[in-house]
Order: sequence, then structure tokens, then C-alpha cells
Amino acid sequence: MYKWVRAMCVVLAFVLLVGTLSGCSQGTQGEPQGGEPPAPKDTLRVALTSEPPSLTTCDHDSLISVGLNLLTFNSLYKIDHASLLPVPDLAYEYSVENDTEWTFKLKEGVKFHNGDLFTAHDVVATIEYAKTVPGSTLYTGSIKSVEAIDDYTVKITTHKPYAGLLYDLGYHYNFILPKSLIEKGHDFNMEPIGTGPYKLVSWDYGNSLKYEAFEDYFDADHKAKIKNLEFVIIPEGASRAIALEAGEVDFVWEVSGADVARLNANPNVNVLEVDTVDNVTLFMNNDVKPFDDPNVRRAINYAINRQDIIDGALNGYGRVNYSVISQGFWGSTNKNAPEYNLDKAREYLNAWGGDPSTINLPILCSNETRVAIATIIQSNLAQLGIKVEVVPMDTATYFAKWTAGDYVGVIASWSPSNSLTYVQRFHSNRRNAYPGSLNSPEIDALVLQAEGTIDNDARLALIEEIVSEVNLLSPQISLYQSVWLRAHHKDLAGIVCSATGYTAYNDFYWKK
Amino acid sequence: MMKHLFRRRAEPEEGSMSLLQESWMRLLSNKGAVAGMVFLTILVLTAICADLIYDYETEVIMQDIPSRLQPPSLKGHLLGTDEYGRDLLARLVHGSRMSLVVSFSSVVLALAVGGTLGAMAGYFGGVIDNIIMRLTDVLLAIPMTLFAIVIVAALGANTTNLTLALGASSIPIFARVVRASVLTVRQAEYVEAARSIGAKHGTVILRHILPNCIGPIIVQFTLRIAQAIYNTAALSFLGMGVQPPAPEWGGLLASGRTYIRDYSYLSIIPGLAIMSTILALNLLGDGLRDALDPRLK
Amino acid sequence: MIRYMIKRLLAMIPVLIGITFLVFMIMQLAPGDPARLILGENASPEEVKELREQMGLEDPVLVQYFRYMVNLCKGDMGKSYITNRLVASEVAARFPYTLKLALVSAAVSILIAIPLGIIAAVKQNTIFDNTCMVLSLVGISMPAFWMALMLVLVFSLRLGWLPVQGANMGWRSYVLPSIAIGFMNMAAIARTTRSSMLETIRQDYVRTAKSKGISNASAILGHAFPNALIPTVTVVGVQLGGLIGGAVLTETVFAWPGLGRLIVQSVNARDVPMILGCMVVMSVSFSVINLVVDLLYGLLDPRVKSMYA
Repeated sequence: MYKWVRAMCVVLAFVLLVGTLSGCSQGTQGEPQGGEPPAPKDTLRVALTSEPPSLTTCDHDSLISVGLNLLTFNSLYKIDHASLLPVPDLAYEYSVENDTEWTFKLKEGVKFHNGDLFTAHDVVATIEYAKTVPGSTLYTGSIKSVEAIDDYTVKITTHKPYAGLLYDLGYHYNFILPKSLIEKGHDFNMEPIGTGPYKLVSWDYGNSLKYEAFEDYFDADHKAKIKNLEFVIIPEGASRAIALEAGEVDFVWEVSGADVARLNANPNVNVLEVDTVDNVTLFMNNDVKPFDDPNVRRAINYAINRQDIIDGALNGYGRVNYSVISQGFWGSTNKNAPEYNLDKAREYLNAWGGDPSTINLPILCSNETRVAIATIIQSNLAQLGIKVEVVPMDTATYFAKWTAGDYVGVIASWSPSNSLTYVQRFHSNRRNAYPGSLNSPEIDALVLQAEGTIDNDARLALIEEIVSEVNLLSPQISLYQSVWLRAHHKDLAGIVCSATGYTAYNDFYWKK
Repeated sequence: MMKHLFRRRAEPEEGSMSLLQESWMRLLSNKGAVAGMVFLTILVLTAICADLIYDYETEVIMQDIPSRLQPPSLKGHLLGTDEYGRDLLARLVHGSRMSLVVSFSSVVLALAVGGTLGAMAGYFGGVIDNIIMRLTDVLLAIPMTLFAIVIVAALGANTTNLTLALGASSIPIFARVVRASVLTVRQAEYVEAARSIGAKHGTVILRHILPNCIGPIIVQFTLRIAQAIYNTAALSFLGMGVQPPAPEWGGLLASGRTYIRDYSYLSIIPGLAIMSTILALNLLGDGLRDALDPRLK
Repeated sequence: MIRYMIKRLLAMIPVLIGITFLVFMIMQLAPGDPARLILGENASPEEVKELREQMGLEDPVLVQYFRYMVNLCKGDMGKSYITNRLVASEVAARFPYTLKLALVSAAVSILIAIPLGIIAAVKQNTIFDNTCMVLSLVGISMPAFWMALMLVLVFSLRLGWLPVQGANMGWRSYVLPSIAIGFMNMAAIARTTRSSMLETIRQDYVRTAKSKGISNASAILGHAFPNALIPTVTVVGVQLGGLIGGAVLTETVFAWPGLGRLIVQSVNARDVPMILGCMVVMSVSFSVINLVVDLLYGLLDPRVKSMYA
């Protein structure tokens, strides 16, 4: 009577045992046989690492959210994905008078998702609204006033000559929202209504987001080619790779380095390595002894083996960078950058003259990769006799400590979209300069000069000078530039991934 | 989740040497309990001698990137190396120390606080009992793992806070157990006698009542340690417990998880360690309960 | 019975107030300024201070708690610090996922475990009994999150039968998470059913029933089983409660879009309103489950019922 139960029990035990054993055995014998359903040609499914914190333009600084903002919104000038230079978007040209008055001519016949026609009044309403949002000053602070000259002409006046205006207009805080909805207090987080190539259809929290192509998109060249766009949230790297192999998704926005070899071996999948300007940096508190001494900072800079970090913490995917600025910008330079050299490191320690064993460098880390990086720095600096403490913490505490200057070392990434914004951070008295960052009157003067230089070549020379001077001071240590890995189904084409981390999904199309 | 194991039937009779000996003999006749005890003894010894077996700084913490992710082998690293080239066995051995220390101290903390509260509630009754029991009602209405997570979330993730959090979340259980035990012996003749000759409350509780409730407390203690090992691993797995580079079993599992597809030993082995320890404690706990409760079997 | 139910429901209120108070106070200990968290790295100190006032963070803690409770009664749990979304709607979106998973795994584990327990008891000391008991001992000792990883390793990564994570693949998505969550419960329920069956089988009335010539099977199912069910119900209750708390880990492993994962994410981001919201909902469900179990208890055991008649 109970035979079948007994049989079942034995089978269960057997399955568990065999399963565990097969789990133990190494090798690639068991490729998932998820089977590949024919790719639905009117849908693009993208795997994201985490849920976007917000879909609005004005209350976040998240890369994922900005990526999604780009689907539903446009700006007057946008940062081109390839050149990282500002190019026309909703405006088609501009002119500058008196170095502070910028007049933009706007494209006509542009529609918002709700049917409203885009005009200069929307620009005025958007920028005025953005200026009221706390935290937006970095992107709107230079703007003194905005006025609509007529329906398709808008004039922006800056406080003083400011070369970064076009870049600032390309930031998500200045993405154009319809005036009528701003006035109504519309919740753009639930319904991000803009002029962009896609419209949000639904958002299943923690799980997926669905978009649909916007038929009336103004830019015929960049109108969405795939009708349905779906984002699925898959936090685990291996899971994203498997989802792609099994045909559950068509594009993986962030591939984990550990999965690249396997994905490359799959004939249905292409892996893209995107060099980025995301510069992961070790910041040291320049106000804390002995890190106030450039000799100590330079010694540490010379002693950190970037390749160890890339191999050990990043599975080999990263680009060595020694300069304080990311390579790849218009104006980047490697001049005076300290490259890995232990002898030099010891020389600088001697120049400082203290006992290395008295140096203690606690490094705050906000995620696992950074813990891994800090752990490698720990063993690197042990060779100089410098003690490093790895201090992992949640993002909130990490920010609080960092912004309050309550840190000695902190690993953070720094990825502004242009070289001017980049060097502006070396100014000692900016809202985005933290306690303990560089404080040098000479550099401050140079930064001010660069900002006010509207002439491109002259500004470029100044930026290069700032970078090489800052390299000598080593207020912070660039560790590596991220290489972001994307992977997609082989039939997917038109893929453009920018060095700032964005992807133009509206340009994707299915081959055949 | 192991509460079902210790559905209380009856309290042990008053402790005497012979009864304790009898219990001990009964425990020894339980094969599972003996196996559990042997395993735990070896584990505790390993944890104590961890520094003699593997040097913490050079073998457990220090990275050796060139030899990362080497699979287990008899020649090189017995259990393989992790993503930073560190010997997995060395990290397991030192991890056992971490797991045991955190679990043990959290349960001791819970016993001390919860036991005192429970003894007071049971002994004095009335308003004190009411207040303490309503408090434990509240604590018991929060799932334990969640409560620990909230405490760690507020205080920050490190070993001390983890111990505090786990301890705090076990307090109500000890309060309940001790109170129940105290209630059953409070009316016993020898307690009445002690009180009638004018002994102080503290003395009565410590000298006369607690020793006679020791059975259920021992059983509960063993099982709570199993639970604490689980929760230590769980919180570290979520990144809310012991922080790297310090080794802890749950933490090892969490970092091994990234490599589960190609280097599955990194997630299999730490899990086995956690499981066998909990298993051993459960076996011992079951055995203790049977041994201390003569009316069974 | 109805009086008992009402009494128990009313008794939940102070407990819930206690929970919210406790969690609210604990979260006050959290370092880091919510206003700074919301505004991000680029905000100025003035902006931060202004937002603090706007959010009422400058008020005394008790005032803040009172305000929270008043809003909670209106169904308003505040806004997330991180996403700026309403906590109530986010929690409402996630809760069904947790509940569905809990129900599926509870149903499966009860349906498998109780028969196993009964059979093991009837066939005491046979190979079947021993196998079941060894497996269940292993089962209650196996951390659910490790079990989850092993299931993924075998059935998703090696064999490719089932999805690795997420809730997007219909019933297939439910298989591994519900086994991972349910296996420990199954083990626990089977063990208790077995031991309480063993106890009742030896009771006089079962023997009497048998001696009256009732078949073995109906003696067991008709007489012994209902009485043996009481401890089983307790364990089922405890285990169901555990599903709510245990969901935190399993949902993390399977990236399940439920409350468990939400609370872990919120803890990592120190999103206090979201943590509070999750805690309230999870603790309420936990209390409701306990209440239902107690009521079932009353139905099964006349002695309990008579206490409240």
C-alpha cells in the first residue's frame, strides 16, 4: 500500500544526492537547455541590475533612472553618446551675446505624450521648476533667468560667462516637461510624460517596467524601431547571463565579468565591452594627518597596483588609469600621473620622513566590489607597512560620513559627462567639493578661469593644465576606469552604448 | 522554526545527583546526541585552536590573486581557494570561531536578560508579570530574523551589533521558558519553606527556583544556539552581519554565490558546514530533551 | 467562539502599537540624515535643513511617532526616501507576491508532510520511517537560503529545467522558491505529525476502536488522526509564521519581487518609511496567521473552546 511512497522517498533522496554531486563536479557539461523560443520581433526585453529609484527627472542621480529618463524625455541640447559633446535635441541652434545671453531656436511640431505641443513656455516652466528642486543647483545654478521670446525662441541668461551651459542643459534635471502638467503638480514618477521616443505603459514594482513606442516622436531618425520595450529586474549577474542564454531577455545592460567567457562561447550572443569615463577613485581626506602631506598621498598612489585590482576585483574588466581625470574626454591628459612603482613609493615615504606603520587608512566602501578593491589596496599598502582598514557600510551612512568629512579614505566613482564639470570639482569651494578634498588657491584660480572661457581651444588648454597640476598634488587616487559589459542576442542591431553609461534603445532593431 | 521540537510536555523533577547521572546515561545511550556531541566538541576545539592551525593575517586575510579560484585538490588547497586566492579551509576554520562566538554570546545575552525577566515575571506575578509578558508578546509578534535585521539596519552592520541583534531577538523566548518553569516550581514545598524562613527574593530565585528549572533552559539553550548559528549566517549572507575580510560561514556563502556557476564548491562547502553544525546541535538538543524528561520513552 | 475571536482581534491592537513603537524607536538610532539621503551628494546644508523642517524631522521623536500612527490609521505610510513613491502602494504591490509564494509552499509542504508523518508513525522503525526521519532532521537543519542556492545550482544551472530567478515565468517561477521555503516546514511538520501520531496510536480509545473490529486504516484516520492533529496545527502555525520572516532570505536568493526583498533593499538604503511599512505589514500578517492557528485550535480541541464559550 505504501510502496509508492517509499519509492518516491528513495527517488527524492537519489535526486538530491545526484544533484549535489553533479553540482560539485566541475566543468561545463550542463549547459542550460532552456530552449530558445523564436524572438518576438516587436518586443525588446532588457535585463536591468536593479529597479530605477525614480522615473522623474528631478529627484535622483541614478544612472539607471537617467537611462530610463532618456526614453521618455528630451532636452534642448543632449550629450551625444559617441562624442560626449552637446548636440541639438529639442533646439536646433543657439547664439550667444555678451557671453551670458544664450538664445535657443526650438524645433516646431514636437508633441508630448499627452498630445500637448512643445513650445518655449515648456522650457521656461521646466527650468524654473528644476531650480526649485533641492539638489538641482549643480545643473541649474549657473542659470540666472529664462524667458520665452516667442513660442519657439527661448533666452537663457547666466550669472556670469559660463562655458558649461550646453552640458548642463543635457542633464536630466533640465529634461523638458510639459508646462500644463507641472502646473497641475503631476506625479512624473508614476507617469513620466515627456516628448521621448517611448511611453511608459506599466511598472510592476520590483519586477518589470513596460514601455511602448511613441508614434508621434519628432525625430524621425531616432524614432523607436521596436514597438514594445520591457525591462526586467535581475540583480544577480549569473542570472542575467542565464536569462539571455535562455532567450528570456534580449539585452543585458550589465554583464558580470565572471560570465563573459561563457557568453562569448554562445553563438547566439554577442558581448560588448564599453570603455567608459566612469573613474573609480580612492579619495583621501586631505585635512587629516599625514594625508595632508602630498608626499604621503603620492607614495600611496605609486604603491597601488591597478592591474591587481582589475584582475582580482573586476575579473579583468577595467582600464588602468593613473591620472585624476578619466581618459577619453576632450582635454584628458596623463601628464604627471604617478604610475605603479614601489621604489618611487618608498622614496616619497622617505621624503615625508615619518614611520609608515603609524599610518592608518580606513577606507569606506558602499558595495561589494568596492570592498574587494579596498581589500586589494590593503595588501598592496601592506608592502609599505601602511595599515588599511576595510570599512563596508550602507550607502546612506557612507554618504553621510563622506559629506560631513568624517572619513579618511573612501572609494567612489566619478563620472561627469564632460571635462569641464570634471575639473570644476577640484575647486575648493564648490557645493560638490567635500570636506577634505583638494584645497589649493592656484587650482581654484585656474578653474574659475576655465569656466569663464567660452573659447573652446583656450578652455581645453586650461583644463589640461589643471589636470597636470592636480596630478602632482595627488589629492585623490584614480584606480581604474570601468569597462561596462553589455550582451545581446545576435539578431539585435543598432546598439549604441555611450562611455557615460547610456544606451539608446530607440535605435535598436531586429535584423532580418 | 524549531519550536516544534521542544513542545514542552512536563518539567523535570527536582534535581538530585542521581537524577542528573541518570539523565547523562540516557543521553549517552542516544546515538544521535552522542554524534552531535562529538561533532560539536571537534568544532569547538577547532575554533579554539584556529590560530594554531592557520595564521589569521597571512592565511585567512591576505590575498594571493594569482592563485584565485583554484578548485579543491589533494595536492594544493584541500577545499580550493576563493576569488582572492585565499584558502577556503583556512577561512572555514576561522569562520567557525566567528560563528560560534557570535552565536554563543548572543544566546548567553538573551538568556541573561530574558531569563531575569522571565524569572521576575514568574516569581512576582501580578503587574510585573503582566508588563513583562505584554512586552514579550510584542517582541514575539515580530518575525525573529526581521527583528534582527531592523536592529542591524539601525545600528549598522558589524559583529557587535549582530550579536546584540540576535541576542535581543531571542530574549522573549527565554523569558517565556524561564517564566513557565518558575511558575511550576514556585508553589513547590521547598520554595515555600525557604520563603517562610525569611530568605530574600533574589536568594530564593537563584538558589531554589532556577536550579530546578535548569532542564528546559539547557534544552532551549542548545536549540537557540542552533537558531543563532542560522541567523548569524543568514544576516552575514545578506551583508548585514560579520563584514569582510573577516570570514564567517554565511559571508563565505554570499561571496561564493557570485561564482556558483563555475566554482560551485565555494557555495556548497560553507553551506555544508552551517548545516552540519545546526544538525549536530539539533541532535544534541533532542537528546537532551529526552534525557532530561524521564517520562518520555 | 465569536467572543473569543473579537477578544483576540482586540488584543492585536496593543501589540501592533507596540511593534510600530519599537521599530520606530529603533530606526531613530540610525545614523545618517534622511534629508541628506533624499537630496543626494550635491545638496547644500541649507537645502538639507529646509527639507528636514519640511519633513518634520526637527520635531520631537514622540510627535513624529504620533504623526506616523495617525497617518497609518488613514492608510498612509509616508513616502520612500529613496524612490519618493508612496510606501503603501509599493508594499501593496509587493505583498501579493510574498503571500502567493507562502501559500503555495505551505500547501505543498502540508499536503506532503502530513501523509509522510502518518505513514512513518504507522510503519514505525521501518526503512521508510528511518529514511523520512533522517531526511527531515537534515531538512530542519538546512538553511533555507543554502537550500535555495543548491536548488538553483542543480535544477536551473546544471539541468536548465527551471528559471533561476524572478516571477515572470508563470508556475515555473514558483517551483524552486516554494520548495526552498517549504522544505524545512515539510520536515518539521512531518516530524511532529509522526510523534503525535505515535502518542495517540497508543491511546486506549484507538486500541478500543481496533478491538471493536474497525479496520486499521479507519482506526488511524478516523480516530487517531484528528487527535494527533492538534500539535501538527501548532507546528503548521509556527511554520507559516516563519514563512513571512524566512521570505527575506529566499526572496533575496530568487530576486522575488516580494516584501522580503523589499525590506532588504530598504535596509541597505536605510529607507526608514519603507522599512517601517514592510515591518508593519509583515508583523500584521504574522499576527493574523497566529490568530487563525489559535482559532483552528479551538475548533479541534473542545477544551480550548470551552474556555471561551
